[in-house]
Amino acid sequence: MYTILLFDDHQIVRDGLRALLEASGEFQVVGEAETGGQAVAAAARTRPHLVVMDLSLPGMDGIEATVELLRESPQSKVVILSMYDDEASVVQAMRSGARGFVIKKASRADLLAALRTVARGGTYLSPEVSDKFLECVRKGDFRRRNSPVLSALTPRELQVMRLIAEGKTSKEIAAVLDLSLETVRGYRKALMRKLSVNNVAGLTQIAIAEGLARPAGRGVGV
Amino acid sequence: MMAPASRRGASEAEGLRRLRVAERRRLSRLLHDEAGPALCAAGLAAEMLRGTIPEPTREQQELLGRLERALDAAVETVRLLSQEASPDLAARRGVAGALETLARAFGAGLRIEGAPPDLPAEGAAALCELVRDALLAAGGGEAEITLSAGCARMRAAGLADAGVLAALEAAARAAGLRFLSQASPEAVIIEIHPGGTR
Repeated sequence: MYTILLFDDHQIVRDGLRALLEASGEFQVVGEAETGGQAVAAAARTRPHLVVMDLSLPGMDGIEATVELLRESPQSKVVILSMYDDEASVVQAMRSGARGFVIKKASRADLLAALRTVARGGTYLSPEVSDKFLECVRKGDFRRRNSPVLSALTPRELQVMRLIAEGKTSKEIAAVLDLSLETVRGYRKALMRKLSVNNVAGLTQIAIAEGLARPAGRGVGV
Repeated sequence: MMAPASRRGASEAEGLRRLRVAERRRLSRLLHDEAGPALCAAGLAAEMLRGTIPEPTREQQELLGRLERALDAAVETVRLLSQEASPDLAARRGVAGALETLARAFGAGLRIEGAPPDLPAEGAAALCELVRDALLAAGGGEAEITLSAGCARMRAAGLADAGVLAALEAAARAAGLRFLSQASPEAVIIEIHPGGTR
């Protein structure tokens, strides 16, 4: 029996996943989380075989959470469950250390196949995204997170930029990162200066184009 | 030098454009974050329901199968709409990927002839927005998009509104793109080239 941690900010989805996984008789859900911080803490505590992780989450997104979680619980294997099916999301997820990428659907067959494959040490991509992923690899044109454009930014500036791209106000960013409002404003000015843009729309465009943020998703959408 | 009235008009148009972008972003986010997961959860529940019926009748099996297929189709539609509505589609998928999404969403044909035009991110986004607007304006009329290194070309039966064509041309000019249109009895052909004059 493989142990699983479920990480999704929708209770309704977690309930559905828990029911179907437990009904399969192959998996035991040992924890649930709805924020990145909770997921990392739960993984460190329960050391699950598998983690089912949504890609689009409030605060820390699925990519960042995967990196953090694998640092705390390196033996766990992460399977990303996502509404996104674009090349950049898949590439970023796999680069962050995920072992599987499953498109959210109304049926469970794909997810169970992914979990079985990954639990046995394999890698799984939903059929809908595997062709796109291979095409990216073939052409070598997928965007790099450590892009030259963003290389001049500090880790804190990158965090602020992602939150700006999510549509958060300076006040909200200050609350999320536990900074003063003035400090956040300072980061905004520094970002605009370094990236030669003069508005939030410009920062958002760059954040998405460089793979720092995803369009339209909760928490990471813009 | 722009006259005050023209400046005011340009500022109002820019304000409306920003509102439109914000509304589309909101819609895209709602579809992605709320409608999609809710439909997925309903699909999982339908599968669980199947498991609770030890010996389903043929009619029950058929009904559950229909429900599951309908939910799967709805999730796919929500996914496509969420992507298509996003004003950041080109930034995310590049010009070719964005046009592929738009073609699927609007039921248009798409032919890619080599690499897409070499455009900066802003220009690429503007080109895709113009194609999207043109597809919207064409309504249910059949449309065929061709993307090549030189330009994006669209042939559409329902794109004959002179006001719409003028608006598309103005938007292209504002984005630094060149816009050409040509009417024939069967369809209108528009072309969007890099390198216009702002």
